[in-house]
Amino acid sequence: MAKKDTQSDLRLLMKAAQKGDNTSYAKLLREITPIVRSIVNQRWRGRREMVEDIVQDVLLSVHRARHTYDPRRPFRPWLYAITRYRVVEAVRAFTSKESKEIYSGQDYLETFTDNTANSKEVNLEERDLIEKSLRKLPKKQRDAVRLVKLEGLSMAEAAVKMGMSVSAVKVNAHRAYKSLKTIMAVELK
Amino acid sequence: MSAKSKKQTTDNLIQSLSQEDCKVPFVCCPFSATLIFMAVAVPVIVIALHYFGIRPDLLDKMTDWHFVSQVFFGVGTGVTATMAAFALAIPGFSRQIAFIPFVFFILWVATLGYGIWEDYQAGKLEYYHNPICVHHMIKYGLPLAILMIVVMRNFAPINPRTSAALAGLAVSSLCAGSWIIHDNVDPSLVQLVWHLGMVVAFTAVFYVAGRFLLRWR
Repeated sequence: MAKKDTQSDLRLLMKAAQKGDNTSYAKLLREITPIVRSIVNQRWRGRREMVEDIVQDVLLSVHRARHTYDPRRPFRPWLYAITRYRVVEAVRAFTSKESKEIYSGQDYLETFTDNTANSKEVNLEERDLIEKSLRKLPKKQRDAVRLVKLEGLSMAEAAVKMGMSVSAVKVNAHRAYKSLKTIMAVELK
Repeated sequence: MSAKSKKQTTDNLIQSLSQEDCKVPFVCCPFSATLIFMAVAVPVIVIALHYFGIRPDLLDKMTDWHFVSQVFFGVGTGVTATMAAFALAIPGFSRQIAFIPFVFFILWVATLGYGIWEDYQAGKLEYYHNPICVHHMIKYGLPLAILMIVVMRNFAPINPRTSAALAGLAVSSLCAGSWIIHDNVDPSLVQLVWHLGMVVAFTAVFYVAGRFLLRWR
């Protein structure tokens, strides 16, 4: 019963918004945000910190698609359809990005050193150790790690900056991670 | 960015979206979109038929149930596929609507199959290449398909591949279904291979290109 009431409320809010009532529109967006967040939380299996980004994408899509809502029809199926589409698109983008990236060097750092390194927080000592180890790498490998892991560029962006192909960046980064593993193991002994 | 600051950004987004002019000019409806599309498509097809010439025995054929059912199911596939394509480009419609045109399509194939069986029984089963229908479909079907895609891009195509495939099916079925009115020589086997072959090819091409044609951000 409560759900039905909410449904008709949302429908009326959208109807008013379509006529240009900005207050109703703001209220509608605020009311659907927790609903959207809950659907995204249920369906999204990627990084948790991306949930809010997807929620924002859904809100933007709702805004762009508001002319497609027919107030004679129920509101929730319309909203669910848009949310589902956005989650699927996010999964597709995430999977595609993950498949292009090579295994993270940070994961090596977390698992090859002692327990204190198995923390998501990188303290100053560890940062110094990383910097020191990086300096021992050949320039191309060092640049690949710096751009991709420290500056957060994509492989394609790093390739443009380094003036080489994406595959070459991947190879250099992969070699760098292997070398870093050895160098850091020695440094930590 | 922390979860709290991201939620803050969501609130800011809501605020900025609600400050925009939220009034929308019209509400999409697949039925009215189909009617409008048909108002454009029918004259185009009539002009095409006039250009190629209408079969001389059309009035006699109107009493032949086999001929009438072929036109009915061919054009019916086109009309229902148009409606399904528009409906699927609007969030909230069930995807099962896509099955309706396929019912018509199967019945259309069945009428052609019956025609082939009749030709076979009468010993008149023949086949020849008839690429002119390809020319007809590309010349008249492609602009109509592009028009449909343009209209759908203004909706919210959340099922891009299915919607695009249905658009391909719609225009090719309308062209192929109406082509029978022109073509008085094609035996059923030729129609099956060339007309339905083109319909399948159009649908497949649009399905493959769907995500590119109907990218919705």
